[in-house]
Amino acid sequence: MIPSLLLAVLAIGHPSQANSAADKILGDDKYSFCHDEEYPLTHTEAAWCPPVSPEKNPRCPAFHHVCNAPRAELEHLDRLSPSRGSARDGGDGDGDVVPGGAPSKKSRPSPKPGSGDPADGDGDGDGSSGEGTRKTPDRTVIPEDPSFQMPELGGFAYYLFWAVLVAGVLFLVYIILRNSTREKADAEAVATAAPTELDPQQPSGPSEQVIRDVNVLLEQARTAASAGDFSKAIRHTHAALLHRLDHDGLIRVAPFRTNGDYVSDLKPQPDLRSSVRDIVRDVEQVQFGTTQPDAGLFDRVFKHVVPIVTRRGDTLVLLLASSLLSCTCTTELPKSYPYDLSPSGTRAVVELAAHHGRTLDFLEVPLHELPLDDTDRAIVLFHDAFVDADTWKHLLAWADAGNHLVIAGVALPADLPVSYKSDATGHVLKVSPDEQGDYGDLTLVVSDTDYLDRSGTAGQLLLTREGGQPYAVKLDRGYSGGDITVFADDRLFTNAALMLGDNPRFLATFLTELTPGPIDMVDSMLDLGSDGPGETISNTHLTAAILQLLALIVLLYLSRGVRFGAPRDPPSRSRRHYTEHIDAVGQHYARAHASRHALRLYAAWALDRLRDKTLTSRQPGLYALAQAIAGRTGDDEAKVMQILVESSGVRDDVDASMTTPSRARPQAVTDDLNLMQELARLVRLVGGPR
Amino acid sequence: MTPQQFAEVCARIRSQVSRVLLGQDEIIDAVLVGVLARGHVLIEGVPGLGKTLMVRALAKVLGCVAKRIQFTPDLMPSDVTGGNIFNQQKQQFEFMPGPVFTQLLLADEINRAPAKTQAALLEAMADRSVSTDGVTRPLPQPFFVMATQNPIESQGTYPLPEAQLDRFLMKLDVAHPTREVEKRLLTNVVKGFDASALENVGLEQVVTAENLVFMQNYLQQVRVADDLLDYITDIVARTRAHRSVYLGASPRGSIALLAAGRARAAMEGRDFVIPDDIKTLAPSVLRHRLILHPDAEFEGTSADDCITTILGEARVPKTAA
Repeated sequence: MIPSLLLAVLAIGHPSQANSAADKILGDDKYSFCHDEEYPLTHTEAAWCPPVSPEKNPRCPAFHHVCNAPRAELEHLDRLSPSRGSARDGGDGDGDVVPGGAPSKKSRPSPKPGSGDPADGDGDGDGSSGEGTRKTPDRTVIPEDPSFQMPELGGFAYYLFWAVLVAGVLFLVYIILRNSTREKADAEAVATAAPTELDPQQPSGPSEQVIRDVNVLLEQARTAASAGDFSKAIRHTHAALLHRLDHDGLIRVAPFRTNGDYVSDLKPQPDLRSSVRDIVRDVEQVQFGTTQPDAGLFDRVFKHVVPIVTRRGDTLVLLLASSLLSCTCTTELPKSYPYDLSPSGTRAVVELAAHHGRTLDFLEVPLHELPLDDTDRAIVLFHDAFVDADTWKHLLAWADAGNHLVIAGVALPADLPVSYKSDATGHVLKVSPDEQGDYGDLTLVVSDTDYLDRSGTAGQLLLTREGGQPYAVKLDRGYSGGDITVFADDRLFTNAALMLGDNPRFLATFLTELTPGPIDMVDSMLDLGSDGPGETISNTHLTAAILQLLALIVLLYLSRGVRFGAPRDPPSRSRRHYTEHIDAVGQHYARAHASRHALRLYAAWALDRLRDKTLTSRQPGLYALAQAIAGRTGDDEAKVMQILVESSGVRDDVDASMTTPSRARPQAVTDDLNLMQELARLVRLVGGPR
Repeated sequence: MTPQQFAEVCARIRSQVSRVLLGQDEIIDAVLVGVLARGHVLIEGVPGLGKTLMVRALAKVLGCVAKRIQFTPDLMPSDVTGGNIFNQQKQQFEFMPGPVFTQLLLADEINRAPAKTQAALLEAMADRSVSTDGVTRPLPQPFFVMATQNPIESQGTYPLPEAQLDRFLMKLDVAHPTREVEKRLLTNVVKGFDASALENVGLEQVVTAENLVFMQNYLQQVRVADDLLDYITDIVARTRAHRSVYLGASPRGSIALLAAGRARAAMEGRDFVIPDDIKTLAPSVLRHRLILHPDAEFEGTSADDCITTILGEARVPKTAA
């Protein structure tokens, strides 16, 4: 236990080593913006370019070239909240990063808006941001398309489609191989059985090789007809029909099944059933009747059979066609850049926190449902989190209760003594002198920075810009140890921030010092779950795949009927219930009129049970027993004695019990039953059978 | 008579009887098979399912005379066959024929009479004649008995011995009608149907007794292929070898299966028997001829289960499988 704890502690990095940890994290190829020189930055993300030069950014050597690469085209701007970035960036959100306009794939299901300034979503950098106020972000509403269009395949649906297609192709290959193998086997069988087959007198015994290949059978039928053996020709034609239907799963051919059974199997398909019945009638006339087969009869049978047996492959063609028709995928998927791994994402920050023993995750419960009895829990609000006035009240109360609230760019409530300011200068941040004891003299580099305007000396400065303007302020709340830390924006909490300066070290220290408890992040995705299964399917781009599967099911139903597989008997029970045995024994006794035998067995058991239940000492004779039972039950002693005497007599009369009572004396059976019931009543009254 | 004409007549008979007996088409067909094959039918089922009505309707449609005997424990053989009664005016004994002297006879609850009385009827069934006081009197032609019995577990019954059961061509199990059929039946009653006044229904007489005898004789012309004789033999032989069967079907069972198969073939307009005829009728023809081992009965195995197993093993002639 202790060594494992020690190992766990040693595995946690010290904040002073956070910069080197960030080197390793960003060194992973999955962070394409650090390695792929053609990575398409959004215009917002390009704001990180000015402070970056190759010599200043050893963690992301390719980023310098990325800054010179073409910018990404963004789709569905109307669905995105304002971008992460400064007021000067305009409204280019950084979701749906798609070179060439194709959709990107994200690790989170729906577009996470960029972390831009809520106020600059209109892209004009309105003056309100410069005056220290920001709009409360509105919940992003995805407008309904006026006309339905099949969604394109994406994510899981894309792989599902290919899985179905590959399975279909493999199935086709298997069918072709199986048929070719069977044809070969049948051809060999024909070769070996040829002398026997040509003998019309040879009965078709069970040992005869059965030919199931429809083509071989039809060919044999033609050969026999041309040789004038119409009886054999009709027999082969009939066999071809049955094996085709068997192969299609419409009937089950077996040696013990008759033509009537096969016709019954076709009940779900009345037209086919009628055709097969007509064919079978002609065949039976030859096989069992007096009709001499001739060319006319053979032609009639053959013409009826051929259209049925040659419809092979129709189902497969239909299935394949439906698969192709329902496919709306593009020929080539674009190179994908998952959002979480983009410069605006947070995956690297999460990994850095994990490296230092802190778990960051996105909050899953609505903010207004955070329990107020929580303590030492932390929440980081990104700029696009949706917080209304009531939620703010709840959040402030939650912080007062001893929790830690980090506000990173989201519009502030009026009762906090800080507000946002924005200008276009400055990339460097410094830890305030008061905090250097904890953090050290760190130099942080970010893209264009906003800053805070605080009332007087409210709060404790945490970070300042080079010009001295506050960038992060910590406000203590209540007496329970809670606090609120306000950042001018959320750029420090992005993957891109880890590229530069001492940002990783600051973040590691900040998150470590923030709370020993869990830390949750909140962005615009919170509480944006689907309202129903339909919306879920739509969001996950599975509509096409599900429609395709439904179409396949309908086609299977049309081609194979309700059952897709071979019918099987229900599993037989290995053991019968005990009550069934008792019931069987009882019925057997009743059928054999063995009431006296049953009474003897029951009387022996009941007398022992009565004696055990009523007599404390072993007293011989029936009278003591009758006295005890009468005393216990309140019955008449003489009546009880009579029952006991009769029962005892039956018990001891072995010979009498083995002879069944006369069938002419049903009264004897009734008497035996009455005596058993009386005994059962006494047993029940003295305490039951157990 | 051609096979098609035979089938048309049978269809008309079936249609007429179905007008008064709803939802019992299979029983009507089976009874008709029994009539045409010169057999007798034992029906097991609870009272109230229209057995008497069917006999009366059949008699009307077939142009035959029908009578009914209600079997009771005190029924005497002479109550069935009739007997010699002294005529004081003529000072001699005269034979008074019993109800068995008819063409269609309903022996209701046959297992309520003692064995001696049952035997009197069964002799008439087997030999189609009645012997009393050394005189043998033939029964009218055609002669057909439809006997009913309550389930054997009922109190106060005298089970038919196996040898007597063997004389029945078929044993049919009648179940209660379905809800839909029963509602249609009630609807007819609401509309005024009265089972005791069949003349009001307007049943059409399709054939005469002579025609019926002719049709019975016609069955001799129905061809049975050798393969089918093998099939019948195989099925019956398997009843004797089945692990759950103590006593299998007798050769009379084979003959009954053949006769019934011919009748069914003719009813369907064929002049030849096919395996379906045999397979379809085998349960009805064989179920009362099998005696099961006690342990098989103990396990809940029935004769029908054994026959189903046998039919699932016997190879059908000229099969494509």
